[in-house]
Amino acid sequence: MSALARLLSPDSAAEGMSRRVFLFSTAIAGGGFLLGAASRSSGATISGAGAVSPQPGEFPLTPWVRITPDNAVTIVVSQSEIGQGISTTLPAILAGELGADWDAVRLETAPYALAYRNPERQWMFTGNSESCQAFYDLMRQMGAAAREMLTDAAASRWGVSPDACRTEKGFVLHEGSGKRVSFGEVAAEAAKLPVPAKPRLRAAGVPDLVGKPIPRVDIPAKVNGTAQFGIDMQVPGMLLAAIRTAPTLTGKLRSMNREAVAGMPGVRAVVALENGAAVVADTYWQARMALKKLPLEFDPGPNLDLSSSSVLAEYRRALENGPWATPVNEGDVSAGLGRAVKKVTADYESPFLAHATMEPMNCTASVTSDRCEIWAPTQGQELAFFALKQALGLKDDQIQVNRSPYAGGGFGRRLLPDFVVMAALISKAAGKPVKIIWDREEDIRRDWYRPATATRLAAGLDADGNPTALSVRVVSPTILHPVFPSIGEFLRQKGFDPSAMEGMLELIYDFPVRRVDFHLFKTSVPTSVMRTTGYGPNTFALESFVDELAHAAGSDPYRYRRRLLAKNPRALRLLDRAATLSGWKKPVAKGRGRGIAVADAFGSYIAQVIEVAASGPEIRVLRVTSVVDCGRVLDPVIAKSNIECGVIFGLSYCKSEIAFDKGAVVQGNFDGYELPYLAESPELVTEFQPSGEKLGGIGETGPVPVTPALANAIFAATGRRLRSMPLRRNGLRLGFARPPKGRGYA
Amino acid sequence: MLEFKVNGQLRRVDVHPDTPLLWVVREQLGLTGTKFGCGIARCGACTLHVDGSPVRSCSFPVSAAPGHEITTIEGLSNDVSHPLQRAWIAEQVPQCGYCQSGMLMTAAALVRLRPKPTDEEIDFAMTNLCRCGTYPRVRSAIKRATGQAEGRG
Amino acid sequence: MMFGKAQTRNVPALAAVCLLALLVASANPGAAGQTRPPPSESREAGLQAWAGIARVLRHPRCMNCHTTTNFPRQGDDRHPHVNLVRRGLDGHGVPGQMCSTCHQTENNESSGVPGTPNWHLAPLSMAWEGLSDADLCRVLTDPKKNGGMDLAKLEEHIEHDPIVAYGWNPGANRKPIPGSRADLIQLMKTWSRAGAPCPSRTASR
Repeated sequence: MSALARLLSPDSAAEGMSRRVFLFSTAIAGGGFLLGAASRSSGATISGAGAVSPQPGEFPLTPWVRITPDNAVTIVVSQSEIGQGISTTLPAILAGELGADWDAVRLETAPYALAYRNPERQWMFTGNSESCQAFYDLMRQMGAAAREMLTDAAASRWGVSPDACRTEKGFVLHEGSGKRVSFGEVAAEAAKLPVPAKPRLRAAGVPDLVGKPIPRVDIPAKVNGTAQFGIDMQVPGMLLAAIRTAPTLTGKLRSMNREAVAGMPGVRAVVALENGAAVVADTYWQARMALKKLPLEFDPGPNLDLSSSSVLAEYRRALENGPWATPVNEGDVSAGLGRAVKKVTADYESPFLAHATMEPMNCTASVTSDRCEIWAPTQGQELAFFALKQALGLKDDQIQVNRSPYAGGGFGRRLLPDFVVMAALISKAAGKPVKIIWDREEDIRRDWYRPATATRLAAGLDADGNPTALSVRVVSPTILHPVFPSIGEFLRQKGFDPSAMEGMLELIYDFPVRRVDFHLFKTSVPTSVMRTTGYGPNTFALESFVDELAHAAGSDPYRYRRRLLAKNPRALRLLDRAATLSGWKKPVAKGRGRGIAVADAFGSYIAQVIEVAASGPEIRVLRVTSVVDCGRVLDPVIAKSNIECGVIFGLSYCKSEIAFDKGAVVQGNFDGYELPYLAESPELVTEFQPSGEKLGGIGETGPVPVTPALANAIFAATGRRLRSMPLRRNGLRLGFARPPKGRGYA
Repeated sequence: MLEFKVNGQLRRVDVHPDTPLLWVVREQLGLTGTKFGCGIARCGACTLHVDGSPVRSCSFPVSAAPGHEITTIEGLSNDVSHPLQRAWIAEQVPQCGYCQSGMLMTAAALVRLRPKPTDEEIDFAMTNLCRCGTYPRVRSAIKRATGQAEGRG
Repeated sequence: MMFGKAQTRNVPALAAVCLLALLVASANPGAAGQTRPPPSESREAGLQAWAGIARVLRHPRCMNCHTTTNFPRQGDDRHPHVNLVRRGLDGHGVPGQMCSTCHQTENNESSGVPGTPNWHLAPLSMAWEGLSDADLCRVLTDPKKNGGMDLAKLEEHIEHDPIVAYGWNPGANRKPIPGSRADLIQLMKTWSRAGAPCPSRTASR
């Protein structure tokens, strides 16, 4: 179990939460209805937000599988589909174990219910690249349980031993007699049987559908416009709301004049929020036009002197002075540094970043005095549930948290319940169901940012250039607290955020003595989890620093890492393969350079080489080679897609940052917060080297080494060491991967 | 009252003339395939066709629609049969998928005028933003759909 | 173009050419030098008017689309147009991303995108970046470069072409050209009546 997992074991989970895994729980009262048309194209289809309670004529076999008499098999999808393909992989594991006909399986988004909690964390959420790791066994068990219930029922009907029966493509078959019966025909009887507590898994070891590429079930709907995202949800009688909050981070609403807009076309309500206002109307544009005309006054709040430079100065002060918690203290670092022949010290800075999911924050809520139902593109159904409970003062069985079939990107932003609670409060005030849509400016300015980090590393080298000691200081605000409130006590007592320490708690390298100090930075800037968590900034610092050590030791960065990885054959294998695959040993042309980075992140290992061409301020990223060991590859196409698209996402971390001025966020849209273009995207070479070790995560793994590999490549090409990102801070910018030549283009 | 053709059908809407076509298509016409991403014509999620030409509909007032033929992602085909859609599925292009309606409409406009687009033509046509980073696959899918060998990356 | 060269040499000859031009105006409207009336303003007044015209033409609202490059520029800082916008073969953009993809016939308040009918880049022959006042004058008045416009058509373009109106009504936070379109038209008339004189190439900008 990773260090983080140890720290976040169920014993430290939210107070009052039951810790038992229910094989079959009573559902949180549902009664919702299937939303959205499920478009049937090739393969399974997914529909949204139904109740846990089965529809009339459906027979549930565990909370995960429902079967109709005419053999329609529905599998419940607990995890949020945010683009990582989880709504294909996990149901396929279950369906493979069950023996269902995958092409006919229907998929349904789970509402919040205890049965759908992450079994390792006892919390319902999607994040931390751990859905496959956490649910793999449970999916097999649930598939096997349902299979046994069906085979028992069929065997009972036939008067044969269940051991002589098997399942295949939605049928139970008796080997000896050739008898067969569909799941549907025995579903009613099967549903009456007790759910087996210890179902037997298929002898083959891996269910039928695992390890081979399965066309993602959501992709056909995503290429014909029928995929339903949160922003597309429709509820009968629904109104639309446009939102405006204070321009400053800590600003509050002082006054508003609703009379000024109350008579405008379509306007139904004007709702005051603590830090802003919402106009509720028949259509979104009517709401927005009225909102533009609504006189609003804000109190700016206490942080008018907050600016990028003031925050940076505070970080640097903390980096000098602490105070420090010391989560890692292995050996005598002072002595180690003392006997060094050479000392290397460097400070690294990583910026605040915005999630900027392409689908902006939105939520549809229907709230009355005694009931709340919401539909949201959420990653955090359980936290949303409790936040709603707290905000509305309702009882458990009065709240239903539904998830839209799809979310247009998550990256951790949608773990937070702020936009869900906002929608509920507005619906309550308006007395009608309301869909709130944040415009891009609200979305960027009301983010919970990837926290900035300041890191100081110091190492001693002996006469051979080998490290004698490593001392690290990390200054970072919390990542976990807003999405995992119960970590508050840990933060207070231990003084460090486990997620912000990821990538520093345990190293792939063999440093003889090592110490890591952490300063939990306090800032009024809201921070929380974003794809790569603490691994991102920590790996940027560490892998850039290892490059600096290599340089100080007069060694090639690849060969130097070979030395440091002598005791880590798993990482060494990947490093060697990345070097071979990228042609590391081949000479580069003038103005070009290659950079290498290796990481152990989210339970997987990744080695990456980036090749750039540098010319003046322009950095052209030519090629990124990634070699990944995630233990086992459950679906080669989905895995590759996650890594490769993750690499491009990682480039975005080098392109833009969030800045502050006079207490407000400077950027508001993609004009200020620029994303990479297709034309800037490099060639990608990706390979998997599954070692057979424990299954690791891949959702966030691809971007982790990008920042340092890019910085190292720029050093190789130009001799210039970047100690901060994004590129613009260093007077650099991304260029076209292929320089244009044609008429009208160049 | 404004009247114009959408996906071959004559539609009539009663909205403020300044309403962006994006919101009319999504709300009054119930075609939610076209997406809102930025509202300032920077991301392209709202791309549809006006008389076959790509238009970012967040910046196109509905008052300008009468007399023109509007095509949305729903009108690209009614059975995922457009070569680009087939290629998008074969290459498994989408991650979250939110940008892909706009991406496909832009690609469709490109290949209408350039049946075998070069890398360069793809670079400067496909400026739609994808947060998830599917760009290399978008390129491969366009090449595949237009019968060209897989590009590098 | 003949009248351009003639200007710097021989005023009486120029006058004669202009008179001749007037006589054949209806028969051959394309030859600019032949359609002007005799100068009713002094050369000095004309050159002074030209200096004012040049200032307008150099304003970012004009110059951003009269680029020497295969892309337009944007903003008062004249950064390359966002979204990798390119000229294309005829100044209307490239397949997949035409000017009309974002720019419509009017400024769009909600998106902030400016617009006029037929939004497009001026052809490379009408590129004005980096030109001295003298060269700018020559480019402007050369029908081979300016799309076949004689002085009358040029005045017509300045006075009535909707795309020119944009300069004083750019919308959003864009700074309009100082003064008004009427001011420019007046300068054009003065300059035109002076015989559309261009400063000599040795004159400073």
